[in-house]
Amino acid sequence: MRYVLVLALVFWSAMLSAAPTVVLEDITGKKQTLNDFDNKVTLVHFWATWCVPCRHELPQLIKVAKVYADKGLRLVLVAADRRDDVKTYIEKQQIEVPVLIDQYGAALRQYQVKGLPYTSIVDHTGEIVANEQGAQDWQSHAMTTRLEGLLSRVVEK
Amino acid sequence: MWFKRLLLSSIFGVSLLAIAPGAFAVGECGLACCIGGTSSSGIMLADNFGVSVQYESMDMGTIRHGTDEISPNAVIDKFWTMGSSYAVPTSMKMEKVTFVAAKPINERWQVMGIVPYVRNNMDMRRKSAMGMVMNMKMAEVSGLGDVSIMGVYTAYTDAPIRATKRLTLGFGIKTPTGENDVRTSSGSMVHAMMQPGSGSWDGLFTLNYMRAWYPVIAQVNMFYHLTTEGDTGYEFGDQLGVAANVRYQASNYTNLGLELSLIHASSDKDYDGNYSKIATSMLDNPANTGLTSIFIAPNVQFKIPNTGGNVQLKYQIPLRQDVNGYQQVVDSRWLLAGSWVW
Repeated sequence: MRYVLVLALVFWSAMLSAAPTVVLEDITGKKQTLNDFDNKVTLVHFWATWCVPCRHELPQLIKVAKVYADKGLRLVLVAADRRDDVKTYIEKQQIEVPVLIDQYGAALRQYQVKGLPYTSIVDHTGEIVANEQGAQDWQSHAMTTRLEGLLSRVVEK
Repeated sequence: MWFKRLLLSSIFGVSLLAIAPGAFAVGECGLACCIGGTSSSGIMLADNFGVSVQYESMDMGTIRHGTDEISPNAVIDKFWTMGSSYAVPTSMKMEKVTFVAAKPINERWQVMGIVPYVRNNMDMRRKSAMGMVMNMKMAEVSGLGDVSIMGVYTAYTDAPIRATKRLTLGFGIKTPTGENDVRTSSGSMVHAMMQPGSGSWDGLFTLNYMRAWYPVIAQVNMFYHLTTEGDTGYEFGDQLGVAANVRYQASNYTNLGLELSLIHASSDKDYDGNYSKIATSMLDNPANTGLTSIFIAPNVQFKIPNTGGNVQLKYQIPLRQDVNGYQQVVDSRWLLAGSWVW
């Protein structure tokens, strides 16, 4: 039994991977480090203004991030898009969460993004615990339960 | 002998068009990046590894002196002398199948490998020393051509996908992997431009600028081929190519394009005289090399829905050709390319 547990632990550790360090510029051109996770559960969300499913998903994702912000959830939007288009869009949609511009695709490559939208869920230790490709139902019971589970560990610490 | 260069230039032209990820509108796909497909839940990307197989066929029949057209018989009458034969090509068909692979190294650099296989055929007319005119067919020359390796650097882009401005620079080497000493059954060296390879290590430089106003995409490609002397003492002339291409996304899966290209090639040099038979052959005369040509090429690209695959077809015809000496020039050229990216 002990060996099974050790093996399970090794397997689980292998499944986890540290979120890559990527330096990107924000909408104002200021450099930001993407893996500055600061003991919070972070949703690193890749999107683009021209991606229709991304536009549909974003309001719900922002809403969930707001609900859990006090419990330690942080949302970072990484735009695989032109800075001007992103700026116009977030102003029009009054988006107030941090938006980084992945101008050369460095974050796309390091997070191994294979489609948009794409969300990496990073726990409070900086480990990527899940990657979600495609638009998700962020308000679903399964998703909120999952987020709450991760957030509970933040509180415990 | 410039058309061997043109083949290489065209490969790079097509590959660069395909390799610049920002060139792709939704539904458009190339060699190194692709919007693979769309669904209600998202958009698939494919940008890991790309391969392409390209077939091109070039037909040549017209002989020019400067910009003027001249018949094979007129060339023979001008250069034939009693007691010595003189040969002129009447038609040539040069075919090439090229395998191209592209792999991104990081967000700025990609490497590209190009492996060609060539097959050249030629019909000739010879007036013998005794004055008898004969039509002849040269034995087919085929084989692996010169392999090239390039690094392509994204100097600027305004977005990683679906960019509207992008500048890429390419640096590469053409290696002397192809045979350049193929001989006829009689033992004489096959014409330099009909050989599968050049025997030289050459430098390759490219620049590609893309500007998009979706659904219209414009690109300018510049290509410079810096040649060196081959191991058999022959040096093809340096070549400069400039091409402007405009494409319109006619539907989610179809792009229509029009390309205008200019090619300038310097004269070849046969340092050791291994390929020169100036007195007896129009083709084996370095003075009959080097030219400036302008081509127009309508093209169409079809994307295979919800995959990283696409097919391109291009038809190129000359608008103006100005050659040094007497040269057989391209009448038309077809290019069919299939690409897949993962």
